[in-house]
Amino acid sequence: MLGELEHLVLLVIRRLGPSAYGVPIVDELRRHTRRPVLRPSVYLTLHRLEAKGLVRSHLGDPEPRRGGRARRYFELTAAAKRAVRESRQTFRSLWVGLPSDKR
Amino acid sequence: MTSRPTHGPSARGPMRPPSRSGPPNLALRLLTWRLPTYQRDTVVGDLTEVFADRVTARRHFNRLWFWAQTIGFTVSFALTPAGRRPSAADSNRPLRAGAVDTLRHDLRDAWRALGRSPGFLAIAVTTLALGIGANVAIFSLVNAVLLQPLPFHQPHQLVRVFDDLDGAGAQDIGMTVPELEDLRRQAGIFEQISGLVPTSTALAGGDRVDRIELLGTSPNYFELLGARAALGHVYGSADWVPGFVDGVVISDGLWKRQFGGDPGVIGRRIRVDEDGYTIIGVMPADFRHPGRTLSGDVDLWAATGFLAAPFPSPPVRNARYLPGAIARLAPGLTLRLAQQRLNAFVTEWQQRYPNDYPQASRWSLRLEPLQRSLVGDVSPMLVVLLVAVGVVLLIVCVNIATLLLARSSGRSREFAIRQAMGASRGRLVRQVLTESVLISLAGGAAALVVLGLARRSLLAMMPADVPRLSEVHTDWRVLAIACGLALATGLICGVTPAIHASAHDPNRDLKEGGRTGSGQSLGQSRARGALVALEVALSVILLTSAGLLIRSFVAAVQQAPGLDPAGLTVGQIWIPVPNHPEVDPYRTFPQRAALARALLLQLGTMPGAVHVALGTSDSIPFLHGPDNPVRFALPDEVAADRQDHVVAFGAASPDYFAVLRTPIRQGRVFTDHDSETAKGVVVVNEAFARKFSPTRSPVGRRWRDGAGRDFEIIGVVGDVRDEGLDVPARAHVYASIFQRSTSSLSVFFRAPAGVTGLGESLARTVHRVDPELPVFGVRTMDELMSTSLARRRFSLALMSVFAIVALFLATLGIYGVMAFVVSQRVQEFGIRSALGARPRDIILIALRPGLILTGIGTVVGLSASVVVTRVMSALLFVVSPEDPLTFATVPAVLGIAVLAACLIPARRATRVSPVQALRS
Repeated sequence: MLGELEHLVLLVIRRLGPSAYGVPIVDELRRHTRRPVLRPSVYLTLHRLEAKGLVRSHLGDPEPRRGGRARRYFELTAAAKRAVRESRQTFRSLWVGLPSDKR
Repeated sequence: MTSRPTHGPSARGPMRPPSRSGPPNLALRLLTWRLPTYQRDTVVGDLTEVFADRVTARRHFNRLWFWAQTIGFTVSFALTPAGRRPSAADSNRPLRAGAVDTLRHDLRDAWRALGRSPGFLAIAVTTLALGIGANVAIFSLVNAVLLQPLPFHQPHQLVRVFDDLDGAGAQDIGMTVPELEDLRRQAGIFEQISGLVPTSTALAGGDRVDRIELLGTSPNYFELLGARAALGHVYGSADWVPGFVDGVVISDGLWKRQFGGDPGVIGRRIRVDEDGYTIIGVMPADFRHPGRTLSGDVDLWAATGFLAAPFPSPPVRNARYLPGAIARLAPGLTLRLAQQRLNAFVTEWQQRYPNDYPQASRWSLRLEPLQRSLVGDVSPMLVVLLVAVGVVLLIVCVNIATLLLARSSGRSREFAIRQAMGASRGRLVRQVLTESVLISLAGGAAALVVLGLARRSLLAMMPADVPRLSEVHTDWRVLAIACGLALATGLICGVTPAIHASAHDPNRDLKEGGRTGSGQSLGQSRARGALVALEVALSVILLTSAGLLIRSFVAAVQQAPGLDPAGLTVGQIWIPVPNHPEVDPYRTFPQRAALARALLLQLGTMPGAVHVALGTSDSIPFLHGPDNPVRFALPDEVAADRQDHVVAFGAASPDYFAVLRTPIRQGRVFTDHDSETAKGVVVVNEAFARKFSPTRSPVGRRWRDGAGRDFEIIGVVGDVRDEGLDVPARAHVYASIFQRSTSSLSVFFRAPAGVTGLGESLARTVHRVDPELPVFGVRTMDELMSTSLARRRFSLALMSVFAIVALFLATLGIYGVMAFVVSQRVQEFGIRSALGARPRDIILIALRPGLILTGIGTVVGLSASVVVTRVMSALLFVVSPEDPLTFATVPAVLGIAVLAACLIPARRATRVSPVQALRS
């Protein structure tokens, strides 16, 4: 089962596509969620997802703006795509028959 | 692609110099150092990029932001095992951590667990800080006073040499100059020996004459101690002359006080008691003469050969002019061997000078390590305090242990879940121990901080006559003890709760905990009960000790001092004694008698003083100075009884006894007619009569002093406890001040309450007679008497504080247990009251466990006290270590406190509504 932040991060990586690295991932998360997103916990989550085999990463080219350091780009593995799809299906089936919350 | 163009690779906006616009260097370095290699470049790079974006967007507090991020990343990565590069194998392997990782886990868990209950944390840390702090404070005292070697070269070779007359029952009667000379020449015992003559002197040169404390020593004094001057140089054995050496050494205190710390003081001429000296050196601030002084520290060291004026020349073998001597043992000589050789020396000398050392008086020389002779009489007090404060810490430990136990029973579900998830027993024990050690380390740190801040005021509370107080400081031993105590405390506190935490049955606890929310097993409540009983027992011991000290103190205060201190004031006058008798205006007894008459005449007109008397300084009660015993004989004694007697001696003016309100028991006291030309007379006290004239009245008997002069005993006066209220009065002989005056006078006068400036008007009055006489030490008799009880008061105060803390903690412990027991039995009480139990019955049932625990603890504590209080018999006065009143009062006091603590939860039990209890 995916943790909430793990789930969110996976979805954000998917939305960002090939340009998914640390900075835009955090920005995107902040744009979509109302709760505060702590940068370190996002990086720890990325690390954990990689350890679980849900994301892969590769390094880009070194850039002067980053003090000569490279970006680490993330993408979903097949297992992650499956997991996200499954959870989406689970949510969807659970919502069936419930009144949609319009307020 | 990216939705935010700012993330593009090209930099926008004007470039700034990197030092200004770049992220803080130190933060960068911290990140590089702390982050795991795999994450380092990514994180640092991303942060740098966002920082650059923020700068470009002209946002504020960018450096602060970077620091916050740095700390956030450092902390969260430190707490997570994210250091290793993830591999595919990792995802399926159970997490297995190394020892460092486990410790980090334990610390993190402990930190989180404690952070969840800040109230508990605050209480625990505060009590521990109290316990550890008190221990560290007393230990640093013991360390400085008893444990640290004296700050001299090879201190274990330093000894004090005492002359005893065992036949006369007199110790430390002082050394004669020929004895000193013989010991100096005698090979094989001492490498060096120095006589010591502490004396008051008048230092002239300022706007008025000041009394300072001079220590006359042999010229080798500083070589013997291995001490050097901070400024200039010290005198040495090469400077030897028969009389006083011209060059003197002053203390740092006198240098700052009198000469303003002027470095040019070396070579300056000063006038001391009419004699000129040259200052050749200033001692370091931390140098103290290792021995008793008259009052306070030595101000001036002067060397003399003791063989010329003011000492008799040639020296007399039976005049004990030297109150003391210190020596350094010959190299390689043990104390025991030195004492043996000294005994042989004594035997030889007794045969050589049979007249000076009669067999009956049994003259002997005794060696004592310098350190012990300096601190010997405070060590019982310090040892008792150290034991007491240790008991306090034990109680604190037990208290924290019961708190932890209560906590751990509240957390049994947590432990059960951990265990169910695969945590081993060892892991659970470690977790609880980590928590308790963390708490106690925090307590220890808090204690050190508070002690560091309060050091000055704590030292000021110490009785001033405790030696070596200036050496109290925090050294590595004190720090080591503090750390050791904190660790040991943590382990002791944690061990019982840890065992109980690990002994959970996860199956039962999960169920039980789920139902009632608090699953304290039978074993746990038993352990808590045992701990509380132990706490009660320990506090009983402390209460008994404090009780005995209080009883002793009361007994001491209630002792009749033998005088009436109300409104009585004492001052001292020093009559300078020049080394050359020709220039001494007060050399002979008639000259001194004239001075005494002149002083009495002037003092009679002194404003504020109602009733005035004069005496020598030996006749000031409760003033602790070196004993100055006088040898005497009673000529009418049968030859067999005839021994060298020793007695305290002082001189007094006719009104002395009337001013002090010391009762006259027999005969009469002095009148103005007992002058220098009349027949010699003395007055003795009752202790003298009891000791030396038990079968008949001493009045009318003859009393012969050491110089062979005869006096008639004309009266007996009441005893004055002049060694201190808690010391029996010594035999005392008073002579008329007109017949036997000394160079050290005292003034006694009664003044109505509220009269101030007595010291000033006394000095003015005395200076009208002779402006060269320094007046000092003006104090009320109440002050003197209270000073004589200072040590007793100090140990009493500390012990009482310890006992009160102990009582409080024990009461708290019992309250905790009782409150818990009552909350566990709410249903039972509800049912009972539903079935018709009256509130009284319920209170009695609820009180029972608390009272049983207290009973057990009290019995154990009292039996232990019988043994423990023996240790402190040296501190007791009149009261026996098994004082029945104390042993009866302590359980009563404890009982009242405990009853109060138990009643609160017991009353809660009566208010349980049956319906509510049954429903829950």
